[in-house]
Amino acid sequence: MKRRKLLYSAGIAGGVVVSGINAGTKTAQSSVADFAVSDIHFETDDSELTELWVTQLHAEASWTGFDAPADFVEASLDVSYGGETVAKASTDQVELSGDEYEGVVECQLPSVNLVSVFESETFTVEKEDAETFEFLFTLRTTVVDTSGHAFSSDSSDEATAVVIHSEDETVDVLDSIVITTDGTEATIFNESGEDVCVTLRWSHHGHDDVETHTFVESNDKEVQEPPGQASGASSYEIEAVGYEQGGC
Amino acid sequence: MLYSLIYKSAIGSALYYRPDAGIMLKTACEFRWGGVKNMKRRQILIGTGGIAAAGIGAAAFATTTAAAEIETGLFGIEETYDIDSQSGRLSSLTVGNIGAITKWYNFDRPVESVDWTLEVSLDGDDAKEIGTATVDELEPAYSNESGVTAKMDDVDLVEVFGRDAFEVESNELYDGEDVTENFDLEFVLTVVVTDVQGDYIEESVSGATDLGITNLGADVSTGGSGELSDEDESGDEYDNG
Repeated sequence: MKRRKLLYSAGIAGGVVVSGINAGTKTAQSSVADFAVSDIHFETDDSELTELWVTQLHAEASWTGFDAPADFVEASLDVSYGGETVAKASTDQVELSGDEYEGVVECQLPSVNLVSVFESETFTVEKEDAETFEFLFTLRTTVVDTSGHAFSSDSSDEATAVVIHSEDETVDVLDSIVITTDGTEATIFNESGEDVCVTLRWSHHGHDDVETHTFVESNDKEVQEPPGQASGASSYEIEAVGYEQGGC
Repeated sequence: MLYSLIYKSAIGSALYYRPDAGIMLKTACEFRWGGVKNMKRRQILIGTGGIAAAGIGAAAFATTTAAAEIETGLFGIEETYDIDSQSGRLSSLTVGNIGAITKWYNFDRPVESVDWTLEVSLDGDDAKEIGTATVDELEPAYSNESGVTAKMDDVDLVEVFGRDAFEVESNELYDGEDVTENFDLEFVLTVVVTDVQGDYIEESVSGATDLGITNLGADVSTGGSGELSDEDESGDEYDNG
């Protein structure tokens, strides 16, 4: 797992953090269905996380061609983080009527607090910093027939949690680029693997909208001051217009 | 004394089957009897004896003189019949809507009764009787060009031969491979036309089908979804302890 710093010193005052960093890679082995876990970004006011959940765990298993009726279905979730894999972090079992040679069953697995599953000290975020936590989730369903024979299938997905320890406010998220503001300036965090040129639109009462273009290296951040025409205002509305790879 | 007999076996039947599971699989296959797919020459010995040459034609049955000519209608039957099964076993395999028709000509005495018997053999083993029909209150007739018909009850071949007879086992359990076995079913329909003196003529026609049963390979697939969250709103935390 990679542990990357997103935020260094950032603006002060209440703000909005812009995040996004959604890059789940589906590694489905199933021919019919996939397993997908959504990414998340959130702010924290504490350096040590106590909660980081994977929730809404919905599983679906389908089977066909069994030589004996399916008796029950087990669903389990394995979680890998930082080179460590915890098997069966969450499980569920569904009993069947015992007369189905093919069928589909759905179930809901209990939520898992990943901070509890892994060592809690690995989930720390220093003030005005950001951390990216990357997980690999593998959902496995096992269909057991009335003769006791089992047949399993699994599907995996990677998911990322970006946690920002900052009082700034998230403005917007452009793929892997997070933009925060303290109300007077914007901080751009480039979580992507490419250098980018980010365009922001600044709005201020009584002035025309103005755009700025900020070059941010890969896995780095830049603080963008308000444009000249609007400089000196007490607050701005900031909108992320877009970005391009490369220089500005 | 020579009788001339023409009969046509016409079984318009449908074959239905059920796998073990409570799932009814659809099939487009049917047995069709009565079509003319093959023709046979047969010698018929009746009463005091006599040889009737079986003139085999297509669909038309030519009425002949009393020269002891017989035409034999043939079973027409689907040559192949394929069934996909989850388990490789069938809980029923039913031949339904079985009907027969027989015509006769130039009997020396009026015909009194017509009896049919349907037999089936599996993979060349001894035939088993699976249906009979009789019509015995006939209007006296030396010939009957329009034919006499009868229906037989539906027959479940799984009950006749047993479930194991049609079982297709996997090569290796849940290896994902389809396994198909073929079963040869031969149906023989025999008719006996008896006159008022008790003399009779008997004839048989047959049809065969290749029944292919496939034990579908097993497959399991998995899908689902989840969300990363900074809080658990579901209240269903998993107890890792």
